[in-house]
Amino acid sequence: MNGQPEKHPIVIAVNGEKHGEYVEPRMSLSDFLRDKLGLTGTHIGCHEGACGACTVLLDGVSARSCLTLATQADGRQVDTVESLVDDDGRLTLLQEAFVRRFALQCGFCTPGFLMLATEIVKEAQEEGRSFSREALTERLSANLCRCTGYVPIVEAVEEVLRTHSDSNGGERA
Amino acid sequence: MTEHVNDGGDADSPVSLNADRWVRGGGRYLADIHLPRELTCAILRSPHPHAQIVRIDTSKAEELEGVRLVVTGAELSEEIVPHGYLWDLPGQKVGHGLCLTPDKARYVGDPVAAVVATDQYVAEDALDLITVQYDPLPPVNSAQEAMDPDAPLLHEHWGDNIQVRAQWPVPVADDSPPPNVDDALDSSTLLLHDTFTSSRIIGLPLETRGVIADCDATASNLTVYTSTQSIHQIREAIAASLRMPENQVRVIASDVGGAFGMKAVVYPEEILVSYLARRLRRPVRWIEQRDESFVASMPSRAQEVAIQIGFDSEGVMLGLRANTLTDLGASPSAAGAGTGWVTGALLCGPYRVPAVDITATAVVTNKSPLGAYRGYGQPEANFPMERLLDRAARELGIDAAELRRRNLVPSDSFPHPTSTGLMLDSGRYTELLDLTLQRSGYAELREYCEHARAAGRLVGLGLAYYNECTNFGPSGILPLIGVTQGGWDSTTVRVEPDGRIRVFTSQTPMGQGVETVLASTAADAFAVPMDHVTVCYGDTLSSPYTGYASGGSRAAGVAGSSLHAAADKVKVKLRQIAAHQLEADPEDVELVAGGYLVRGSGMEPLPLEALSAAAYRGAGLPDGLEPGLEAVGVFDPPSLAFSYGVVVALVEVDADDGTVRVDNLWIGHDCGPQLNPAIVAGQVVGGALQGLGAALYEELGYDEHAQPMVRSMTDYLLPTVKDMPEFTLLHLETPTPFSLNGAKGVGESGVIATPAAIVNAIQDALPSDVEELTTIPVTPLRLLRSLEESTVSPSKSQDTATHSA
Repeated sequence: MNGQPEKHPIVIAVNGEKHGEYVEPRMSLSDFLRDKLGLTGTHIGCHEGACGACTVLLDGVSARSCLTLATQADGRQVDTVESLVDDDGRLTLLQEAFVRRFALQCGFCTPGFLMLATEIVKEAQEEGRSFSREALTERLSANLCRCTGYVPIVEAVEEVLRTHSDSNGGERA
Repeated sequence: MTEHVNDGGDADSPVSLNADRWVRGGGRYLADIHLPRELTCAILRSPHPHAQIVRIDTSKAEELEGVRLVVTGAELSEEIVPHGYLWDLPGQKVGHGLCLTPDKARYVGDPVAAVVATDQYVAEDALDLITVQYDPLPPVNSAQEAMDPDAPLLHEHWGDNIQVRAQWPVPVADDSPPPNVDDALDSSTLLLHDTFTSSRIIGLPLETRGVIADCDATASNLTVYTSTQSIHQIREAIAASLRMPENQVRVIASDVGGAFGMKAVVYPEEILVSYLARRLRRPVRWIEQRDESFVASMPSRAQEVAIQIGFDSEGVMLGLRANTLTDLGASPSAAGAGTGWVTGALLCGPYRVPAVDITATAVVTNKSPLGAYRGYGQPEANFPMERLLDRAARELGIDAAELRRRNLVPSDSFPHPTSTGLMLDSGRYTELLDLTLQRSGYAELREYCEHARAAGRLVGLGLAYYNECTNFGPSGILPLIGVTQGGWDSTTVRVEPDGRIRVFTSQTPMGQGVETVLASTAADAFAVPMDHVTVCYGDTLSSPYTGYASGGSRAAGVAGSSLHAAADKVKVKLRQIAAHQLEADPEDVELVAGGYLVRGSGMEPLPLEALSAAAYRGAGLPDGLEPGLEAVGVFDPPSLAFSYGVVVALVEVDADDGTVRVDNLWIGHDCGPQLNPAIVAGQVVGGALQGLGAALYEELGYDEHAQPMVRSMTDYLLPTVKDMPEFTLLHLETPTPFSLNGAKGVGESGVIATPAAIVNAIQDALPSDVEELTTIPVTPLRLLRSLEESTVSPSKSQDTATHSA
């Protein structure tokens, strides 16, 4: 057996900050975020794309970071759960609704759901899309939660979607 | 009585102390922890269900760059003492109890060797370089097969594959003999029997297990981070297995990403990784990979119940006979045998059954060892009872709810001793049934279903009643039922020098919200805002002792009561200091929001910080009073507490593809006073959705060669957002006399009766000649097979016509 596989240089803009690293081609984006950058808010529940706990935004689109290779994110933008709060540490409406509506119990699936829901809210806000309960559950069914029974998660996202459709002002809680 | 319609909770009291941190990505789960100089462990597991290990060659793996150590089972069997058992029933046989099997693999996934390397990638590369020569043996593939006298033996020295048997009624010396079950069954008008199967499933917390062990330079002190519910049990097990004193082992559970009973007892990896860290004098981490979790973590259920019940003409139960058979998997785990015992002991549920004859048998097979999952034997008991009661109702022409009402323990009969020797503490069983029927519109729903069926749709209504055994203890009884840990809990309360409050709990939060409940309890006890309270947990260095730990739905009632006991002790002292400073009799001093004052004086209260400042300075105190403000409270429940409830399910079956849609679940529920209604609702709803998964989707199947058919989350179907029914929760609050706060547990309520209610509803939806559904999950395949045998199945055209109408 030969030694370690050859490493490749990559540059990824993570949460608005450029990071250059040499990585093995087989390194997943989730391992890169967690182990190279210390961004442990991105959780790994299955490493096989089934649970969605590792969901991040890749160039603004939700992606499974466990099934994405770090090299595939070379030259692109990645946003993780750590990017959601503003410079003063204030929560987004979504985060605030998750807390208030108890849309989490153990908290492990929470970052993935927040990133998925952030994408949905952005579509509603920027593209004017509206989501029926059915359309929303279809989208949210990409991720798994084992604790809550999903009810408060759906209600939290619906609350924020309602807030945005009622008024376009005030993104922060 | 309250009615919960998810309204977003009470804005004034936070429903989770940790939520604000978690939504920022600030959780600190096991894999998030990294230690300097750490190495990574990966485990080689047997691909054979049953095989003798002839030879293991680790030389190529050892040569790989980055590999530091490779160990095998034979080597470790000299150095590590076998682990003990949380459930150790009388007469129970045990397995080797070692971290790595020394000579024979007994299931696919049995740990055979371990690699320690620089990282996960290299460690997994090294596993591929280990060659093991196996001599395959014929496997035992089912519990029935295990009972065959000619079956291969898993543990040759046992002489058979039977691990343990338990029987009820339990003979009690000097007591009158229990009612004869044969007489009871002979005298019944209706005698029903059937065999029901709850398939092998798994709790599957989204955070897999993991262990990180660190030892100091002298290798005499170990710190072990592990994702567990039971830090003191793990400390005891590591210390015993590595022959260390307990004061040299510190166990830390950081944020736990779900547990559901699956992380309740010690696992081989906790001992193995501790051993490796000590041997290498370096931190070693092992993070369970999801694919390996399906063979390495403990599944549960896997039980068949053959049950016979005799009824009189009014539908009243006269007697019950049952044989339960638990498929324990290869070697008994620390918790395995308890599930079958619980099923037997709780088979009568919330009902009066005067005569019983129950035998619980647990056998070993060539599958992963069985452990705990939320409900722990209770859903397995509820499913056969509630299915058979529905059938009795149909055969006797009595409404299903009415038949249950006639058998429920009446409100004036508590405390009620059961025929299996337990004591039901308190409840208003029939009142809750009536309330739930009324709020769900049960009678109208029955009519709705009949109309829908007349129009060709397969719509059905089902209900199931349950009780939940909670506040697990008391310590005096546990040894009699084979539990090797104490059933008491303790809490330390400290008022800090600035008057803020720190609570040290023995309980481990894992999403159930115990930290939040204890914080609000302490805030109420001292009449301070909740943000004046900090709750510390998850570290044997500072957490008070608990033996049974965070399982058996005991945190609110048992740990909560111990917090009351501790707070009371501190408040006695505070009152003495206040009386001294106010120059009043302690009897005349009272605590109000803001501090202590003389009752009726109209004075400004003396704030807590003034009293605590005195307590810590040691000056301004009554003569002879010890400085400081800290006390340990201990609570050992005098008896168990039984929460209870009823689940009503409305479902629709798709005859074309065999899928089931659960439209509504109405859940009437009573866990005594709700210490935090949002948490209670979260536990019930979350548990009910897990029950839905067990009813319709989840199954860890094995093929005819005892190979596991699930090695990936894509093969193990969990409920998604799309399966979420409309929930309506109703509550009564009947306190238990057996805890200081009246609280009963709630953790397992949702999961117990939901499967039976859903399957009863499915049966109701199906044509009357479809055979009884006796196995969960009711997968589309199982349902379509049942429908194929029906001669009155609705035709496709009828079905289509209804949908387009």
